[in-house]
Amino acid sequence: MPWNRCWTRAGVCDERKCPMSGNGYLFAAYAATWIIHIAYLGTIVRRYSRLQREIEDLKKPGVRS
Amino acid sequence: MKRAFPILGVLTAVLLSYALYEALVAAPTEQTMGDVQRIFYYHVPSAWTAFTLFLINFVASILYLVRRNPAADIVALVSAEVGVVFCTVVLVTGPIWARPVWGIWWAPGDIRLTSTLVLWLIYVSYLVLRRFSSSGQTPTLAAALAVLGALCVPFVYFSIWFFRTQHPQPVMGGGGSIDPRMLHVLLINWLAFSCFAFMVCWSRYRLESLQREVEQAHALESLLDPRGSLR
Repeated sequence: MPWNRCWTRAGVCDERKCPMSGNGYLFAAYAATWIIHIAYLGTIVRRYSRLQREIEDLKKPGVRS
Repeated sequence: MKRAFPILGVLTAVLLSYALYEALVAAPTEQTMGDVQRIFYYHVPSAWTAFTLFLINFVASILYLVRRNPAADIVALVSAEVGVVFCTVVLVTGPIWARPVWGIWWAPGDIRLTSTLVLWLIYVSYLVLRRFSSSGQTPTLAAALAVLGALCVPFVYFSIWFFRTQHPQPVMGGGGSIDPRMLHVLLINWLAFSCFAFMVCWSRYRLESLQREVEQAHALESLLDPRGSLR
């Protein structure tokens, strides 16, 4: 796996093998990407649930908002 | 169409997983930057997807201005919203890549970075206009803003061709070049993110259509008295 290559046995990033020490940044970028997408999908699901409740209210006879 | 949605959803998830494997494991490691260069496989496809969505927004806005088609208005809204999400990914992953490579999070005054931020702000203002304006003219005003915003897209894309900038050269065309294996991984990731964007747009389109139907039902209901006759 590419992210294991730079690390020494002591768990320290070997700067000679990995000059940019990019593992943390790589993880941060990929994680941030999916956090943004999942957060947006979450807003869609929340809006859909709210709309479903409104539709159920509309279907109830005699209920006027 | 309802049956196709879960099937396409599963296929998109498989494609995204494969693209992630290709980006993290199969792609060769860049000699100078090391593994941090792999951010490129998320950053660039996200930018291309955002530009495609803004182009769709532009076409749909023109269509709405010409024909007043409500479906075109929904497509314009949805493509702008998902485009802003992908543009946000670009603006977040870019500085995360820049910190270890350039030594700074952001290059102030850099034409590519600044123009991308301006593009993002234009489309955020488009969404704010759509969200908080209740005027009947809102779709028309938003469509006009979208047409102006779309003019910014080619400027952002070609800015690294015509101006001196710290941003790397384009991987296709321009002065840049790329290893064929890296290009393969890049294109797989672009395909995966395009499929994902399509699925999200589809869901959002259905939601917006439903929302408008409910609003119409509420409007109709407010015209009726409790016995069901017109007030």
